[in-house]
This record gives sequence, C-alpha cells and structure tokens, in this order.
Amino acid sequence: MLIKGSVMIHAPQKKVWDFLTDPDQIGQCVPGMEKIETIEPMKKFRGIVLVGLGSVKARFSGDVEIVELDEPVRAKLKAHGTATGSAADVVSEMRLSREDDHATRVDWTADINVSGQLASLASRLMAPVTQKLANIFYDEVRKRVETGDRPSGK
Amino acid sequence: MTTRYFGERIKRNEDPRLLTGQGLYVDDVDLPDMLHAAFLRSPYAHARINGIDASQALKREGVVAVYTASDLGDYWQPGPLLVSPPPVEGIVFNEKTQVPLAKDKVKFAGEPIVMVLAESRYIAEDALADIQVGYEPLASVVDLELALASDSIVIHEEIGSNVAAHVVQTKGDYESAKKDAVYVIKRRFSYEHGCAAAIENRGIVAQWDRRAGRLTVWDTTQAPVFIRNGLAGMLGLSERNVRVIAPFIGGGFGPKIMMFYQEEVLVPWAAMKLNRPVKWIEDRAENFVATTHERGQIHEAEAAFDKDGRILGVHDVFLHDTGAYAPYGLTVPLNAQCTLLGPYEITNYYSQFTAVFTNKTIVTPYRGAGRQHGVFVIERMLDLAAKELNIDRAEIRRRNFIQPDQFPYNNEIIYQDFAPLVYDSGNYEPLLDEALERIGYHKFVNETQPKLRAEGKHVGIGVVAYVEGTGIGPYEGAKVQVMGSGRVSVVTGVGTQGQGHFTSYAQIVAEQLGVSVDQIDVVTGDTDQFYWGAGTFASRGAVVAGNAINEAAKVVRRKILKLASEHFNAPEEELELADGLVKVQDLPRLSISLGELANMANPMRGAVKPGAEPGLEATEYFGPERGATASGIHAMILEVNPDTMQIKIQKYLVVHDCGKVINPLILDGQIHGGVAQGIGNAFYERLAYDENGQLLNGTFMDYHLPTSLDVPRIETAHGETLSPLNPLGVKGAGEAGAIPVGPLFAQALEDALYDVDFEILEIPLNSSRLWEITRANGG
Amino acid sequence: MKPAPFDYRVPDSIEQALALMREHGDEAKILAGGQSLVPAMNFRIVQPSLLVDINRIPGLDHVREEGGALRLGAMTRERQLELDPQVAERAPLLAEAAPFIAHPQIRNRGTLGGSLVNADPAAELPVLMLALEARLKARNAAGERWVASEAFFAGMFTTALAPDEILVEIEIPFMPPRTGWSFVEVAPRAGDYALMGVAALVTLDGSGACRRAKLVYLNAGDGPVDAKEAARLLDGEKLTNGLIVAAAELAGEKEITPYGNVHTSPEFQRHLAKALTKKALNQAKQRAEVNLP
Repeated sequence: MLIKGSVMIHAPQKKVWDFLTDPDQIGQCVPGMEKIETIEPMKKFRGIVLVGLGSVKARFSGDVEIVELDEPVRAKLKAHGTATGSAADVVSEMRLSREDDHATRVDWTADINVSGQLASLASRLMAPVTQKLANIFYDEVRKRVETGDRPSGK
Repeated sequence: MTTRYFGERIKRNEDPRLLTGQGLYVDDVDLPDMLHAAFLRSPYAHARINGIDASQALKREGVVAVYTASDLGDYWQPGPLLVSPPPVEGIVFNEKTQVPLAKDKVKFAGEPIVMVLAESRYIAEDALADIQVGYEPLASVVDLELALASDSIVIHEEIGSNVAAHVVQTKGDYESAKKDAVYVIKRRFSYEHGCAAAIENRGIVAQWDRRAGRLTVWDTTQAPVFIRNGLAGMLGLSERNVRVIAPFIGGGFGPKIMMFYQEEVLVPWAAMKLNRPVKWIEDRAENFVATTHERGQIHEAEAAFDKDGRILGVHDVFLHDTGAYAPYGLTVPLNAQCTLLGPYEITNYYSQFTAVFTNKTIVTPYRGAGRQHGVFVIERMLDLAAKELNIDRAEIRRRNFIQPDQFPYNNEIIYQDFAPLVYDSGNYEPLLDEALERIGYHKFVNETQPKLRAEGKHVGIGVVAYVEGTGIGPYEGAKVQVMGSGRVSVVTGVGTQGQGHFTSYAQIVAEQLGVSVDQIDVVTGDTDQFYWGAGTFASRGAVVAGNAINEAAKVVRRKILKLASEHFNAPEEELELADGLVKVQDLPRLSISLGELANMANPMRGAVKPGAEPGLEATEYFGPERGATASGIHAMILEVNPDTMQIKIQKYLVVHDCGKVINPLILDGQIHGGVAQGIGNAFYERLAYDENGQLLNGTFMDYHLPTSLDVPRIETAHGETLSPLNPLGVKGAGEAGAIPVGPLFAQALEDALYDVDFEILEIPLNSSRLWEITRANGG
Repeated sequence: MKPAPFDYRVPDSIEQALALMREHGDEAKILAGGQSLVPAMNFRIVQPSLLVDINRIPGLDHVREEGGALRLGAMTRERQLELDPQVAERAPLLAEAAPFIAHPQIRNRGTLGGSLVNADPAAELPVLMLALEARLKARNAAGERWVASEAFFAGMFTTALAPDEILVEIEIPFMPPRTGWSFVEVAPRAGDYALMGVAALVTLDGSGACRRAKLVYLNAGDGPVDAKEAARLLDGEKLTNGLIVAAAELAGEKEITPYGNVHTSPEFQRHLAKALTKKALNQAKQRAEVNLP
C-alpha cells in the first residue's frame, strides 16, 4: 500500500535535513515511539513503537535502515518490525526541495506492507490509519523544525 | 418387503442428543494432565527464516515445551500425497505437500513455524509473543498469470517454476467441429470459491498410553481410517495400536478429509514425546488461513454452436490456484474439467489446465470441489449463445441434453476417481419441465415480468442445469449385528459431520430387518469399532457405505430367517420380519424377538454347527465400479434494486435426481445447506487477498457468510432415475445444492437488470462489484 | 484468540471508577458493553493492563427529560434506544436508526457511550449524535465537562476524552417542530458495518421552505462526516427534486471522503451516498410536512 504526501516547512533546507536525519529528533515525532537506539550512526536504528489509533494498538519492535542518503535532498529508508502475529515492512522516501531561503518542501512516499493478523483484521482501517499517522508525523516535524523545539525527552 | 422405513421422512435419530448438548465433540474431550498447544504462524506469505529464538518462551511459567522444525528430527517429513496424479497421457505433475513446521522458508501466511505446549491455551498464546523469528520477506506469488511469467519468483525452487501440474484431456476434435459452427463464443471467465467455514473449526486431542503402547486420537477428520493408518506409519506404531475417533463434527465440507494437517501430525507426536495428553483447538482466526480453501480458476473458453444452438464443441484452457502445496493432487481441477460437460451432449472437447503454486493457503476440495467452476463456464456460454441466437434459455439447454436412451453415456475422459467419465443414468428433460412448471417460467417471462418492468421493477429469472459425479470408490464396509436386547448395532468406517448418517443408515437396516429406526444404533468414525474404510467425501456416504450396510443387513436377514426357520420348523418363505420380531405368517401368536434369536445364535451349551458363525452378525464391503451421476435444475426469481444493487431472492427451486431417496427430509436438508453455501459463494463470500498474499478479511466481520435473512425458503422436488451401479439405486446428494448457484445468479441478474447491456463473467459478486460491471459495460 | 493477561476491577461507584482511571490512565480500559473491546482483546490488538467494568455502577443508564432535552446515561443499551418510547418521541431519528446497529444480541449488550467512545467511523451512533447536535458529559476525578459532539469526535477511533475521563451522559435536544428525519444505510447483510449511510434532518418554516437541514454520513471519512455545504444549499429553499439532487451530488462528490474496503470501492460508496441522500431528504421532507400547520 503506497501512501504519500507533502509538507511545506518554513525553515531552510539544511535545518530540515538535519532534523529529519537525527533519530532522536524524528523519534520524538513518530506517534507512539517508545524507544529508539542507534545501532550504526546514520545507518541503522532499532526501536519500539506502539502503532495505532484509540485503543487499537500493536507494539512493533524492529529495525530501521537508511539505505540511500543524498544530502540534503533525498533519503530512503527501510523499516521492518514485528508484533504479536503480525509484521510490518515500510520503504519510505523523502525528497527535500528548496522553496526559498526560509521554506522547504518535503515530498514523501511510504510503501507499507502489513502482514499477518493485523492485515486480516484491520484491512478496512489500514489506508486511513497509516495516512493519518504519517500526517501526524510530518505535522509534528513541521512544528518542531519551525519552532526549533528540542526534544522534550518525554 | 414393507416400505415403512426406507424412503420415509423420518426425523433424525441423532438430533435429541445434539440439541440437548449430549454429543461429544473434540473440544469436549478433557483429560487429566492435558497440555494445550498453540502455533506460531507466519505473518508473511513468502519469507526466508533466518533463525528462530524461542528461549524466552521456554522461560515463561507454565510453558512445557517449544518445538521448531529442527526439533522434529526424522519426524520432519512432507505430508503424504493423498491423491496421486491421474493416468492421463502427457501429464506434468510436480508433487509438493506441506511440511509439519516451516524450516527455511515460509510459503503462505498462516503456515506454522513453532509449536508451543503449555498448561493452558492462554499461556501457550502468551508464549507465542516471546518467540523471535528472523524473517527475510520475499516477493509473493499471488496472481495466477504472473506466477507463470518467466520472471516470476519461484516458490518451490527445486521445481524451477510455479507449475504444479499440467493436464490435457480431449474428446473428438474441437478444431474441425468448429468449422461447421454458425456462432463461436469466446470469453474469459473467472470463478472463485471460498472457504468452507464449518461451524466447528478443526481440533485434535491425542493421548499416549505408554504402558499399553496405544495412541488414541480424537480428530475432526472426515476420514479416520486413513488418519489412523498414516499416523501409525509416521509414528512407527502398529495400526492396531492407534485408535482414531472422529466424534460428532460440526461440518466437514471437504477441508476435513484426511489432510494430515501440520497440527494433525504434530499433536500426537508431542503427546508421545511428553507422555501427556495434548489438545489443540483451531480458533477462527487460524481457520481462515490454516484450514484449506478452494479459491479460483481463470478459464479462457470457447464454444461452437450450430444455428439451432446445439453445441458442436468446447475448447477450454484454464489456470487453477492450488496454493502453496497440493496434498490433494488434482481432484479440484479434474472436477472442473469433467463437470464442465454437464448434462449436455458435447462430442468435441479440448480441455487443458495448469495448476499453479501460489503463496496462499493450500487448496483442496470444498463442497462442489471444482464442479462449480466448470458448471459456471458451460452455463454462461449457453446463456450467451441463447441471447445471440435468440433462443430461449431453457430451450437451448433442452436441445443439448443427453437423451435417456444414450445412457450409459461415455464422455471419454478420466474423472477424479480415475475411471472413465461415464454417466450411469439420468433423464434430464423431465427435471427441466418440472422446474419450469414449478417456478412458473413461461407465465413469468410472458406476463409477470413485462408488467413488473412497466412498474419500474427489476426482477429476473434464472434456470440452470448441472450434473454431479458422486459416490466414487474405492469401497466402504459395515458390520451389522443384532444384540441380545434386540437392538441392532451398525458400525461403519466413515465419519459423520452432520449428514444424518445415524438415521439414513438406520433406515437401510430397518428396511431389511423389520426393526424400527430408533432401535438401531449407528456408530461411525471410530477405527476400533470398524477397521476398514475410506471416508466421507465426494457425496459418497449414502452410496458406498449405504450399500455396504445394506449388504451386511441382507446377510443378517438371511441368518435370522435361517435360524427362525429351524426354531419354528417353518419354511423361510412363511416367515416375516416386523416390529423387531420374526413372525410366522398366518400364525400371529407364533413369534420370536430378534434379541432372543440373537441369544440362541450364541448358545451357552451345545455346539455351533461346523461352518456356522455365532451370533446374528455380518460384515460386508461394497465398492462401486465407478461413480453414480446425479443431476438437477436450479431456478430462481430475484429482484435487484438498481440504485444500491442490493438483491432479494423471491423464489428458489431445486429439482434434483439422486436416484432412490433414503430420507427426503435429510435430502432436503442437504440441498438447503448446499444452496446456502452456493448463495454465499455467488454474492457474499470472497477471500480477499492483497498483492502480498495477505488475506484481508480473515474474520466473520469481513468474510460474509449468508445469514438466515439472505437465504430464502428453498422449494425442492425430485426426479428418480435409479443408479444401475449399486443395489440400492442411490446417487450422492451432498454437493448438489452448492454447484450451479453462481451461473444461476449471473443469469438472473442479467435478466433483472435488462435495461443495461452487460455480461457477468465472474463469481463471486457483491453489490459494489455488480455496480462496477454494469457501469463498465455502459450502464 | 485468547486475550493477553489483564487485571479486572468492578467498582461500585463512579467515584471508584474515576479513581482507578486517574491511577492507571492509558493502561486501563473501561468495559461497558464489551462488543468491540472484548473481541479486540481476544485478537490482542488491544492489551489493557486493567479492565474497569462499570456495568455495576448504578445510575449510568437513565433515560429522562431535563431542560428541553433528552438525557441518556452512557450505559444505556443500544437496544433501549430502539425500544424506549421517550427516545421515539423526543429523538425519533435515534429510535429509527438504532435497529441498524449490528444485531439484536449485540444491541442488548452494546452501550451508547461505548460506541461513542470507540468512535468507529462506520458506526451509526457517532453520526446520530452529530446530526442531533448532542452534548457529551465527561467526568474525571477532579470534575466534569460538557463537550459538543462536533468537538468530541476527533477522527478515526479518537475522541476528545482524556485518558482519565469517563463518558457518563449524553444530552440530546428535543426535536424541533416542523422537523422531519430519516436514516438510511446500505449494508452487505443486515447487521454488517454499512457501506454507506446517512442521517438527515430537515426543519421547514411556515411556508414550507427549508429553515435548516443536516446531513451526516457514516463510513465516509475519518469519523462522522457532516456535509455542511450540501445542507447550506438547502437553507431557505423549497426542497424541489432538483435541489435535492444537487445537494446529493455536492455531498457525495465533494464532502465525503470514503476510503473503500474489501466490500466496496470508494466510487460505489459515493454512488450510494448520492442515492441515499436523495432518499433520506425526500423522506425527511415528507415527515416535516406532516408537522406543518
């Protein structure tokens, strides 16, 4: 399932890039992120994320790997996680383009494949929920980059 | 002989027990010290396994054992091939059967990888979450045509392609017959069947008695004898030391035939290894992915007609989805190939199929077992030809029927039982006439429908025909015995899953012995009670086991008459059997009960004469030369709301010929249940897979079975051409209701939505799909 | 299909329940009718560490009139919405729509509050609350607050409730005079989640023109979808066939965002939305006309 979107962030491209490639920063933006650790800097990370909406949630643990990095315009990552009876695989790509000195456009795609019990059970929710979670993520990224918030460590 | 039992609408013997909760089902078996199994199943349809870490699961309190493929040692073997490839020239057959636990690679979502045994099912399921499996996801083979493309990923690498089998069968010469055609029709049809969704899922309990060296297995199988033999072989036990009990089972429908499912071979193994009873009950989420499906075929079909609508020949090339493994051989595609011919005289036939491995749940027969797919193709082509040639739909069928004097009718190809496809008997026109009369076809088409259309209503009628090959061999056996109490015991090897065997079998014996049906105790599905047999499938219970029971009862009858004749010193011709007594004609006070006779046949003193056997007992076997062909017509009137594409079935009729009817009440029930499943197949049920081989609707919330509101009252009527292949003259009826419902829907829907030009070339439908089809064709 | 381990508490009073929620917050779940929660727990897609069963707390299932409005306890069973004469009189839309909620067995257990808190976009009750402009009362250990339905539903399976809050009561204004109502939906089978559904309310003025209309859709977006543009189109106008068709087109094409699912394409959902809107508006209009002086 391919979802995509774009977000305009009112910040210079370098600042957006630095933010989006900092696991601690983006970890704060991922809805339900419980833990993220760096296995190999700028390459491989491991985390636990509680994915879902309302009370319907699944706790996935898995790895994220940055597979392509073309500073400061493009990053491609692969994520693979498993939860009880289910698995999720994501290939996501972000493209940054300079709108002007103070604005950067982020176009993103995410190819999400959910397997196992969640796929069987929640197919009617999959597209809207993932789209919504992605929107929450990029909205949070935008807010934090624009206001320059440091991770609150919550 | 009186006819008080055979052929009567007798209420089912077993129902009081079932309705008051007295029936034993597998999950009712509760043994001291019993362990519970749960299985970790692959979420992926296709992935390599790079390691399994189950150490955390073993540490969980209450977990007793955790097994992966590597723990199974030599016991890890692919399951048996249940049906070997048919003797067809030039056949390609690549044997692949399921393994107990996936080892290096998983091939469908739901395939078991790890078995956990714990003190409760709760703990066992908790432990599944403790297990880490290193998956490396692979692209999945889902689409049948893409699966055969040269660049497709291959599921079974050692085969080198995704071809499971390739079979060509021909009769006459289609290409030359086509030259005489005035009309040739060519279409692409797709037909998908769903999952059986029996009310009871699978279940198995195994108990190992170490001192006696005996294994007892309660199993929801349709074929306990095969399971007994198979398990004995795998576990290195004597067949005499394995007892398989198939107790009451809440629906079989095919997927519970002797599959040697992964759980079915692992649970007894674990019980022996741990020396504790083990239970595994499949839950519904597992059932959707782990119990076999039937699913789909794509047919590229062509038919040639003369100007009168007579079929000159049919050419059909189709793909069959067999899933990740094919333990049941080619039964489903062979049924599709053969049943396409229907009740019609088709002298030229070319049929070719390719069975394709996909990363989906295994495909094996489910009620109808591929017959639906073939019937859909021929019935649709007749409808399209009728339209094109301006011939009435019923009439074009009538013109093509095989005539009564043509039986036995040889179709010259091989059927699923590997015998030539020869129809034993039939008379199709009277069935059609009766159906047209009962549904009011001519009045509806000529008067009612035009009136309704003028009122803006969209009401359509459909009439379709089909045959069903039933009652195939090899054989069944039965033991009939008169007890000292006068009750009669009947034991046979087949299992029972709701068919009413306890009554219909009793009726056969009652007829022979003059004992009322409620005095007869039928035992099925216990290998300690009857050693030999095949199982309940292919609409064969009444035909094969029924005739074995009849033969055994006849022998007991002879023994009764002989003994009573000696007792009364009266000739056998003057004796009659009635009310559990042997009476001397014209001397009403001279009678003896069967119980007393049974005791006399097993004396305490004196001697049994040389050559005689003690007791009033006989064991007989029956094996038909080949299957008996049942036939029928389904007709329906259906209304469609063109705004919402919701449907309402106004009338549903089945006129059916299954030879001699043992119990019309039970037969009606069989037909009703089949039609309900057919309606589900046509308009409600769909196994929705995504491109990664994920089943997207693995719950009853999203897999829509028709409910009592969606299934109308079903009217039935019966023709009767006796099968010459068995003494009772019976044919099977188990699958009749389910087979032609798809094309019936298609025809009636096209008729109802008369103001839109469209063709239905696929099943299943639903409101959304129907709307899209009508729109795509300019609606 | 066995749930993960959890603790289970059955408080006797709302105060005790609120104290438990204050203590456990996100990790606790309220058990009301359990018709969505329990299956979700069996599938382990919901794994609360604590289940707070509020079925034995008295005073949460009332149906009464107060200050020109109908007050319904959050634990009112869906079956009661279907059968209660007060509901039928004061909120006939609710009574008419209740039989469409799942099956009778589910309605016997399922609660009004449970369905609202679950906020399933395919559910009927959130749509009805939005159409009826209900207010919802939330309580926590510190106090209570009223939330308008429009603010309560915050998207798919998401509400304005804080983790320590319990929905306790729903207030529905009496249906105004000269108002007609209609609820229609199309489901694959009776009792299934509908492919599409709409609740319509139409209030006419003395001349028979539309004073106010409301159209709210289920399974048409992230939550109940209020088609405000389509409703505005009808404001002050006579409800001619042409106008009804125009409103149906506007709502079906522009205001709803159906996602489709294994049973339907989004296009068919839009088609249904238009067909159902026409049917619902016509029925609501006819009913409103009956109330005209």
